Amino acid sequence: MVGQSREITTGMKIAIAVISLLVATAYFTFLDWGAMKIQGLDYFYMFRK
Amino acid sequence: MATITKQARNKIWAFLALGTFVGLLLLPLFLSLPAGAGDTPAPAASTASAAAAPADAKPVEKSRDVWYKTEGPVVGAPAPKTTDSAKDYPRYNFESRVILWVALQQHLYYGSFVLAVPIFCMIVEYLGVITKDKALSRKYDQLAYDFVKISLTAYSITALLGGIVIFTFLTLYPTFFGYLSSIFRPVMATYALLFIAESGTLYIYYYAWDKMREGFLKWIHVAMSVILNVIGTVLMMLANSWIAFMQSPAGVDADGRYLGNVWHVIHTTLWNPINVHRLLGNMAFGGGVVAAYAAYRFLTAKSDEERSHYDWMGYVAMFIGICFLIPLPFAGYWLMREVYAYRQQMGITLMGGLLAWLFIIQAVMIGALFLTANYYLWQGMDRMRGAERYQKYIKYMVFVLIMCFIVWLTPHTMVMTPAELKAMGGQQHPVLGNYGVMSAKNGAINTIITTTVLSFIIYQRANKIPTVKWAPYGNAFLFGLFTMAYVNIIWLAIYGYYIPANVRVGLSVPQVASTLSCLFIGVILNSIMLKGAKDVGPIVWGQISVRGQYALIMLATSFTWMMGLMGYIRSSVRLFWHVNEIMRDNSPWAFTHTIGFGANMISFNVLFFWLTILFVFWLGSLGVKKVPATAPVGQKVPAPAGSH
Amino acid sequence: MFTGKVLGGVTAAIIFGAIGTIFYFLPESGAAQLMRKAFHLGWPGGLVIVILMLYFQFGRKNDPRQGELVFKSVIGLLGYSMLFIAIANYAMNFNDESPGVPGEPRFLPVSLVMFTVACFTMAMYFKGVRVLLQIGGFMFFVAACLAGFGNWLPQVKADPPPAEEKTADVRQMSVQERADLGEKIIFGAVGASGTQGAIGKGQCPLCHGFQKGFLSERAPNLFGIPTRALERLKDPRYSQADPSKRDTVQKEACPGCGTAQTAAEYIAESHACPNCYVVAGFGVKGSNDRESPMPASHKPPIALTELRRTHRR
Repeated sequence: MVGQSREITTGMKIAIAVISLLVATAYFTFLDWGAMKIQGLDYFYMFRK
Repeated sequence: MATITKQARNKIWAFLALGTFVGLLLLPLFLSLPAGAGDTPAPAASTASAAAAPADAKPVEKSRDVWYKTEGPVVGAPAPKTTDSAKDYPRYNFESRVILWVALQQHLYYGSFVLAVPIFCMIVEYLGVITKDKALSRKYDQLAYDFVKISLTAYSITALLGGIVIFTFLTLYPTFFGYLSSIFRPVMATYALLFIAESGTLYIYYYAWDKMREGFLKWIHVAMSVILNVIGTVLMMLANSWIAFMQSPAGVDADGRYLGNVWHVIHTTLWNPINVHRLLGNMAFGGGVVAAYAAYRFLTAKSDEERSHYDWMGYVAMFIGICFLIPLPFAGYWLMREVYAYRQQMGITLMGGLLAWLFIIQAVMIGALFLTANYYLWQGMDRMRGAERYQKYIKYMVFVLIMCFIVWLTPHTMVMTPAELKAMGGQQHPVLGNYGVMSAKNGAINTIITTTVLSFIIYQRANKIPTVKWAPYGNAFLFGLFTMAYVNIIWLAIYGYYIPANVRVGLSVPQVASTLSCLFIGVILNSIMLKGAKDVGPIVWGQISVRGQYALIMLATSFTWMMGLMGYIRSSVRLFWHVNEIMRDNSPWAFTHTIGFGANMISFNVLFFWLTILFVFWLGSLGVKKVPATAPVGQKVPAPAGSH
Repeated sequence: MFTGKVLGGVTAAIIFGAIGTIFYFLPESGAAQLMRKAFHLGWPGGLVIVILMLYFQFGRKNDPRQGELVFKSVIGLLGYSMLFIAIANYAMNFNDESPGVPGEPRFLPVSLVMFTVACFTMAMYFKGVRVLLQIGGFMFFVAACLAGFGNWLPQVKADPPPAEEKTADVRQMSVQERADLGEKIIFGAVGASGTQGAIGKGQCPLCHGFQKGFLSERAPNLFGIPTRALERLKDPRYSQADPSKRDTVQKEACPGCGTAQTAAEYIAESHACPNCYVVAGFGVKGSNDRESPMPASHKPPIALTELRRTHRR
């Protein structure tokens, strides 16, 4: 997938992958929280109990 | 000189025609205004049903609306109490309900088709107008023209079938029909007027195609397609109001007496969910039928040129169909929620009671539809060089799809004999029962849809190598997005087991939001990334396996079957009521048939429809001997709707 | 040695042999009936094909395609027979709604399979309409799978409830008889009240649990209701003194009915007017417990008749 990127090293590839995973995690957590919020529900129900 | 005046005259005529259509379109609104579009009860004298009101000046009796709980003057007669006699239910040596079933289903298939195809036509014609590339623009235009030509024959068949339906209904269920028409009289009048307007628009739209080919006239022609579709949609909505009334009546009191407010009768609680669900369903169905037509022409094609054209057409139709298939489960979910809100009983009859097995069939079919759609996309990768890079991932996707498919079709509760109940130790199986709850099912179907999106993204980039600078980051982000979307969907599914039901039901919203995020962010990001990408090889339309075309036929047949099934479910959930809780069905056919019988009838309807529509296709192919201007094989032909 | 002609002849012999065997040894079997019915329905068309075949065989001695034409007629006849056997199957089994116990299979989807086979067989020999036949065959196949699946599932035929029910006057019944009648209405059978999921005409267990620990998410568990009812009466929201002060969509079971004084009356009131008092947390979503999701038991969709409601007003 990242075949033509000559100047990107393996270490950087891993770093990019990790960062994008983190970004996506943050995004989906926000999405879950927000989507529950607009319904008047609490996403973190289990952890607050 | 002469040409200019001619063009000017054309323009004037076009404007006049357009004005007339708009007027015709608005006419029914004006007609129904005095009947009370608002919540205020209409003065009885101004409605069409005023004649039914007692003529003497007795004080008007008031009664309560069964649904809206508003007071209104009693205008109509109570729902008749039928008896099993020749007067209410004439016999013709056959189950009357089955005859009506066939007639209605055929009418509905054709009706959906002629409603859906003009919408396609509108989209494709518009694409043709805005496309800069002359050759491609012509190609789109020709495709739109082909669509409307197919629908023209189907349109007359629809009208014919409509007549048959009314005749059958009137003959077999005279009392029931009389009651319905006494309530819906103004709606039926509007319907008839709109039908005439629809016919007129359709014919002018078709026959003026060549005359209105250039410049401003073309835009008017496009506008006409919009009007055509507005009329068509309103027609469908009016027809929906009848079935919605039968299922969740409003605007009448508990005895079924009409209370003079036509808007309440139309706007019952299930009306809008049914409208949305049907519109989307019709589009998916129309896509399926057109795709099957293209597959048929592809398989019979004599030249590469023809093959390439019909391969392209099948792809476009399938694409539009799938676009409308993806939101369909969500619309279905909404409809189901409204059913539960209206009568919990009805919902339970559907999902956990008598009709639950039918939903199992439906679940199997939805799963099969998505599998087939994926399969078609994978087959379509044959058209492109460079696609072999992605072949190795397909097996994993197949695995994911199959696993989800299995979870998706695990039933929750079902009708069981006492012995079976005892053997299983309750309504739910101790292990498999866990996969039958909504939490797991939502997870499964969202995973299936996300995987379909992934297939599509892979398809998009099969023959391309992105060249933009940020491509590695884009790829990494796509990777992160999809990975976390899968994780999130499955996490939410598991999470649902640990929290109480009232919080759990809310989890479906973030799940759906995750899927839609993948759909929108993924596809858009991918498209941007592929701008100016290096082509490994062009899309060679026509170079697709025969199996791929059979996938299209499979899609089409399944759509048809599913429509028959869902219609059957929607109708039979009323059980032994003509109008739910208002008018009881006292005919000998008030019982609910077995699933097997239903499945046989649906199969019969599906096959009958396909036999007749193949005839329509054959009629359509009589006119054309030559394939329209096609791009030579190998020339770059973009796919629709901004993909690629 | 194994030329097409020989093979075709052998196949034809086997088919005719099988048919002859069935008719000779099992003249009343289902297969024999089916074939008779098929012959009855489709003999005119079959006759046309046979005449065509004879014409090709004897009238076209000099035609180089004579052999092929005769062969195609035979294949056509075969396909045609299958088509009509399938149609006969439909005609004979159309109203069969048997539950699919062993030895009593539901045969209709078999017709679709036969259509499929007929279509594909014909498609092998009739090149002109090959694609059409293949598409048709494929569609028949898809439909056969789905219909077969539908017929394989457990079959339930649901009769509508009788419009009028005749039950003995409950006021004449002993306590035990009344209790049994109640159990039958609620759970479907005497002695079924201990089974989770047992359900009768009253349909109460759809939502209510009746034993300690039974699943009861949609509505309150009714275990111990005779004692708990008295607590409910004291609830300020029940407003025993003055029904007009109730914050619900319906305040009284009937105009002037007032409120319940005893547990039995409370239970009766809950049947006739579920909205009169909604246990906290069980109201229609969004109604703030002002409206109950339960239908009144004497109105549709449950519509227990006067005698069926065993409680006194």
